[in-house]
Amino acid sequence: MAGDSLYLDPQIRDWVLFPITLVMILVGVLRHNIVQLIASSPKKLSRAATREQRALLRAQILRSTAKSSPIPPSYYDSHTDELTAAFKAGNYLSKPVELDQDGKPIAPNPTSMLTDPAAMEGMMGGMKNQAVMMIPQMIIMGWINFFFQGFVLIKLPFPLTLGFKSMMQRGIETPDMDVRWVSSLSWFFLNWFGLNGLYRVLLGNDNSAVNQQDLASSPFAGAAAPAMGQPQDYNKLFTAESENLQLAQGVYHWVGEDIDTRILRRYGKLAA
Amino acid sequence: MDDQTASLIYAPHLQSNLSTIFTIKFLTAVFSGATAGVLGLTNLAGFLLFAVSTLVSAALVVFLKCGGKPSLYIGDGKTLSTRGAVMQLLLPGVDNFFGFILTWTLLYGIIHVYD
Repeated sequence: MAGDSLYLDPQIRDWVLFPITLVMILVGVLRHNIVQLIASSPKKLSRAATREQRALLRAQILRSTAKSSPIPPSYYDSHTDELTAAFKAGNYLSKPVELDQDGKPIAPNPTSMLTDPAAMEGMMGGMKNQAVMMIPQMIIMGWINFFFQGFVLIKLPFPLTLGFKSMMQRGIETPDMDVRWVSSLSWFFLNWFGLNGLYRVLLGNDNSAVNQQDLASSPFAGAAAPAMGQPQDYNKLFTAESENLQLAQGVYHWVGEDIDTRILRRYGKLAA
Repeated sequence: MDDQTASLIYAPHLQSNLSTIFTIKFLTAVFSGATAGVLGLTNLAGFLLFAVSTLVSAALVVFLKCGGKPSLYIGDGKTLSTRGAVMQLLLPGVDNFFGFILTWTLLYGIIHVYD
C-alpha cells in the first residue's frame, strides 16, 4: 500500500490550485457587478399612489411606537384624529372607490400575473438574476471537467466516509486510495461553499454573488413575488388602519410623562 | 415591557453591529483555518482549533468591546436578551464554517502535501 503521502508535482499547485480559486473569486465579483448593471430601475409611482403608501406608513409608525411614544399627547391625538378622519373619508385614495348598485364598494379584482406589467417585470428580473447566477457556474464546471480531469489535486485534512469517494475522486479509478485525496472538481465545490463568506465581506451584505441554497429563501421568494404584483385594496387597508389607530390610542404612553418628578427623584431632591 | 424595548432599539445601529460581528466571525474562521493548515493539524485537532478560536474571539468581543453586556449591542431586534446575543456571537454561520474548511485545506495542501 502506498505510503501515507503521495508526492505531487508543485506545478499542479501553481497551475491548478491557485487559478481555480482566483477564477472563482473574480467570477463572483463579476456576477455581482453584472446583476447590478442589468437591474431595471424601480418603477416610479405617481404622486397620488405614493401619498397613499406614505399615509399608511405614517399611521403604522405612529401605532408601533405608541407604547413609549416620543411625542406628547396633544400632538399624538391630533395626528391620530387627522389620520382617522382622512382614512374614513378616503382622502388619500389614488383612485376613487367604485360603488356597485347597492352602494357597496367594489374591490379591485387582482389582475393576473401575465397581464400586469409590473408583475411581469418582477418575474423577468428574478429570472435574469437566476440565469446570471447559474450560467457562470455551469461554464466553470465544464472548464474544470475538461481541463483538470483525471489527477489528484490535494489532500483533505479531515477524513470522509467511503460514500464520498465516487464524488470526490471522479475520474481517478483507484479502489483503495484514501478518500482524502481528491480531484479538482471537489476543490471547485469547496471553493463554491467557502467563498460565500468572502463575498459577503468584500461586497457588502446584500450582494448578488452569494449563492442562496437555503431551503427558506427559494419558496419564500417565489411566493412573495406574485403577492406583491396584485394591486392592494387601499380602501380596506385604510378602514382597518383607522380601527388599529383607535386601539393604539388606548395603549398610548408618552415617555416624557412625569419627567419632572423622575428627574428630581434621580438627583435626590425628592423623596423616592 | 418587551414592546417598549423593541420600539427603542434603533435598527440601523443594530444592522451595522451585526455586519461587523459577521466580519469578525469570518476573519476568525479564515485565519484559524490558515493556522490549522500551516501547523499541519488534521481531523479533530483542526476542528478543535476552530472551536477554541471562535470562543476566544467571542469572549474578546464581549469583554473588550461590549463591556460585558452584549445584549445592549446585538440581538434579534425584538428583545434585549443576553443569551440571544451570546448565541449569535458564538454560532459561526454555515458560510464561515466552509470558509474555515477552505483555508484549512488550501494551506495544508500548499505546505504539507506539496514539496
